Amino acid sequence: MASSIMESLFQRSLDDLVKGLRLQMIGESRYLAKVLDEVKKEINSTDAATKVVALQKLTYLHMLQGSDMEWASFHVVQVMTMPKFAYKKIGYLAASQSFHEETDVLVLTTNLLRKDMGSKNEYETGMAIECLSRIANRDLASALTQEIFTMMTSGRTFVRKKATLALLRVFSKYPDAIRVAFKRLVEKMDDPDPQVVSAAVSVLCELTLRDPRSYLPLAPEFYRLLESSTSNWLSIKLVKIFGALTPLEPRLGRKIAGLLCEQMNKTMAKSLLFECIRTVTLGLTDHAGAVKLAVDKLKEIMAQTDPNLKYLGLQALAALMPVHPWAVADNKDTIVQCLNDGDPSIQRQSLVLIMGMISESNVTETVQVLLQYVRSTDPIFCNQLILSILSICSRACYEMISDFPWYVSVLAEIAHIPFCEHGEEVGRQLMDIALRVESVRREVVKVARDLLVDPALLACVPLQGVLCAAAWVAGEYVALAPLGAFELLEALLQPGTRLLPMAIHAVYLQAVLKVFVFIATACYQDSSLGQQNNEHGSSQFLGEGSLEAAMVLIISNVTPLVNSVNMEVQERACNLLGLLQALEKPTNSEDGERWRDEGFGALEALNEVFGIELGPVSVHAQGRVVVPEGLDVEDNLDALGPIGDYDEILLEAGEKRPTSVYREWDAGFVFTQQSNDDPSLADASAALLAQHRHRHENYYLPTDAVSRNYPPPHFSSANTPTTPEAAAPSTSLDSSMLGESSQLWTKPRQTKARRPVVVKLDDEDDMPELSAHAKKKGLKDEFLASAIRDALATDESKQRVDANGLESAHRGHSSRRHRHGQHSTKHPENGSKHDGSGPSQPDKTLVGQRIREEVHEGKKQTSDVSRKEQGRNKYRPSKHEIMVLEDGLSSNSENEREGTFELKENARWKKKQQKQRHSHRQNQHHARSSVPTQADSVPPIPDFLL
Amino acid sequence: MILAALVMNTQGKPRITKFYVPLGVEKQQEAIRTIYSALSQRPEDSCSFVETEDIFGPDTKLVYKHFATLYFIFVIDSSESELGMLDLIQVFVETLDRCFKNVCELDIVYNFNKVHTILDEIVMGGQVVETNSAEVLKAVQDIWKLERVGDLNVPSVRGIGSYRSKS
Repeated sequence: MASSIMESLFQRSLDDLVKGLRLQMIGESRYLAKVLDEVKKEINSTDAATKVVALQKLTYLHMLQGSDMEWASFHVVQVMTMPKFAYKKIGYLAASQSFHEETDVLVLTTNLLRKDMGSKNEYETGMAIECLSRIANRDLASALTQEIFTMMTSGRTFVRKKATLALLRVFSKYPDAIRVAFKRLVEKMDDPDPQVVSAAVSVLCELTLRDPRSYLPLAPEFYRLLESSTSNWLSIKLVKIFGALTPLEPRLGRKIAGLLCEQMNKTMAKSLLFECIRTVTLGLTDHAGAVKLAVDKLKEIMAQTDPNLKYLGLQALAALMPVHPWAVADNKDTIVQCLNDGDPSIQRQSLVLIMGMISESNVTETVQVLLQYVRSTDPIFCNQLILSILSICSRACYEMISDFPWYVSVLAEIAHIPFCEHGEEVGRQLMDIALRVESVRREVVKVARDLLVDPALLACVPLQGVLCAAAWVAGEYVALAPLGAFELLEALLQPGTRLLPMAIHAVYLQAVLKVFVFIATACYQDSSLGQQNNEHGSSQFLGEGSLEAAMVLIISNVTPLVNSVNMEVQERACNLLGLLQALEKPTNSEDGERWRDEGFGALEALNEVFGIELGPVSVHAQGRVVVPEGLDVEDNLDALGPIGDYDEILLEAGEKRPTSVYREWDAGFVFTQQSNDDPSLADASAALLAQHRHRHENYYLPTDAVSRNYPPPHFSSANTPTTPEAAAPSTSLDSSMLGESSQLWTKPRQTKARRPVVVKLDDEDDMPELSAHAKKKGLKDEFLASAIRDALATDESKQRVDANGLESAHRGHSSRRHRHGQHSTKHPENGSKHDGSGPSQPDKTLVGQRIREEVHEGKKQTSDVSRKEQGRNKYRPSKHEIMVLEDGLSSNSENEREGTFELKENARWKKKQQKQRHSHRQNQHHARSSVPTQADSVPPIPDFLL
Repeated sequence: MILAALVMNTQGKPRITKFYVPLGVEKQQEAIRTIYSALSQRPEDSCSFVETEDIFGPDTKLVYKHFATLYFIFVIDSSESELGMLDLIQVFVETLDRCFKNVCELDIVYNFNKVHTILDEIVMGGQVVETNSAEVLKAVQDIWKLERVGDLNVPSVRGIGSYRSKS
């Protein structure tokens, strides 16, 4: 006792805690640990006040510092049960802040919440409802559905609106509650208090967005509310609902177009205006008048300086773009200006729009304009711009691009941009273009040469991807080098290359090999030719360098690399030097000459291999390679383990060069052949060797046999025949074009003029890393949706009266069965009695016919109850019959249900509930099984639309 | 719906946090840090919306307003109107101002319970419950009165919040 007094006397209050925290500039964590220790002690106190203050402090720390509060959950419940309002409130706050679905003490709160919801004080009730709407899990929701249901008809607005809102959480945690409370929720749309109406609509809006199809039958209600709505909040939600509904039902769009236009014209609230515009962009895109008005309004809005309006305007335009590109074209000046906005959100939106407007005819101008912006903006946006340019231009095998030399120059420009972080992608595209577009190779090699020659770029980390690609291009297409191969060799061997990562350096060395082979073969041919006519020099190929100079250069620069720590670099350096040894000056002329000829012979062979044209490799190529018989990929290859690491490094470093994939592929074939030809390869060590060769083909010197045996790549030329007329318009690079001719933005795709051949593989997709897959928000819970469909079906009779008859093909078998299950035998008679007086009866004779059929069915059922189930399963009535039958049934069952819930006696309620649950379960079963058919069928069409 | 309501100062210290979607404590703190770093980099005159796909999933947005040393932030998904949320922030701040007479950061720091009460009267379970500042003020003041007295049966507060008509 004494200790608790001491505790409460000297307890740190929340204010003290906050003050203390504010004083702690450093050592905050120590202070917090101390406070938490105190809290842990105090919260066990028997003194209520001490405990409450401790809990309050804990809640505060939880909220601000993320302190764990799981351990205190039981104390939270204890505080929630305290009678004093102020204490209780602290407990409730702690609960709603810290409890989650898995909190084990939730079970303990059920009765507590029920009691507080029944409190005489509306604030206490409100507090309990608020808490429920935060913490409810399935059990809690199912236990308290009844309370919420009752409170929805409470006399106090305060309670009514909160109970209505709490339904959302209850529904999503316990879908069965929909059957109980959905009808009342719909009724709340007619509540005398606008607050409650707003709450009901807000819940319905949330539900509709999750699964619009189920709520189509409520459209007339929403329409009526929107017509009479005076509150912007309410209108916004209603318009949002229509935004979700109209795409499903075009006739609904036609119906509400007038109303939306009226709203757009008269409202002063920008929020409502934007909601209307959004709904137009979502569901009314084929309604010319509405779209026109929306675009006009957007134009007005975009002219203002408010950044919020600008942002939302751009967003709305982006939504319109796919269907109405002219709307975007109309606003293009504003959009281009927005690129220069200081606000990243706005910049990004306008970039999206501009990218959407790009077409073949304006790609040059647009990219030119974007490149100007690239240089003047901050690094983040700059990289977004670059990425957009790269992805849009490379889309679908560069279908936009007809002027490839220009695009290659753009790539080069991008590579030189200081903040550029997309070197890898630029490099990939350079290589890709070099492979695919033969006619532009000379330009690509020139770009590669420029990149390689500049020593300043070597230290630039983001550019290494480009350099890697440039080195490969230079090596592969050395024959096209603008200033000769020797210069390339110098560039590839400059001392700065040692700054490069090892994997890229290895690519450089491979390029050196290729360039050298080219030089050497050219010299050799020259010298053999030169014996006949000396005047033809090799200068046009080799620049001013000679073979000896090249060898000296290589030997002096590559020799140190033999000791490189990187296996790859070391191996390639050794290979290179090994080759050179053969060509060194002969010591004695006779022997040396032969030695030298043999060396040149090897070079010739290499040259032939390197000279083979490489095609692009399909992403699926690897999958098509048949696994050779007897190859056990699962086999333990521990012996090769250490080498495997380098594989990974290589892959990481972007070494996935088409060459490597390609050669690996053909190596696979070699391997197959060998294993077929020579059965002795089954011998373990030979197989290992072959596998090693298979895996590391790059490091093996290609043999002649290899070059003969690989299958030809699949080429299919995608060029369109060029007509002289189509080739006429010459594209101007002037960026002012963008401002001048607005047709540029909307011009339909022209026939491709003078487009060079782009090699395309038959099954090629976009590059996977660039095609962003926009994930659509899926249906969250199919079960909830099905439950709602059922609940709506139960609701029918009311809507019939309200909407002056809703034809609904939607009332499916499930609801009918449900009723049959519930009200066993008497209903068929009721049904046939009632249907004559149903509110909407189209045709008398038809009705008569139906009645007969129904009576028939009724008889069958009454006469033989035991075979009822069986008979129902057999007898599948048409939709019309169901409709008529239900007319009677629903009104009947409705009354009965109504009665159930008006009664406050618990015993009766429970009995009923059990019965209902039972039938729910059955019904669920039916509902589940019938979901696909319902989903497939045409959505219900409200009559008022027709 | 509204996924979260936050108040934080320009130093990145959270003042009020309320998450209406289940989110672990660490995730909450991480979200707060990410939001702060996103907001603090934005220039003064930029728009009030930030897309937050990486924090709260697709189609979510931050709607925020900057008052003196505080950011008021609502995280919303596509079922709320952005401009509507700005109005709601206005309602929230207005109510705070009326409750605390010229509200400043310190008021919020020292009265976190009260601010929660106010917020609860405006947003409930992620849905907007009341948009009229006067209504909110009335409810909040009643609740505070009840809190001060403690016992709901004391004559002075008997009228407050009890049902006038039977339910």
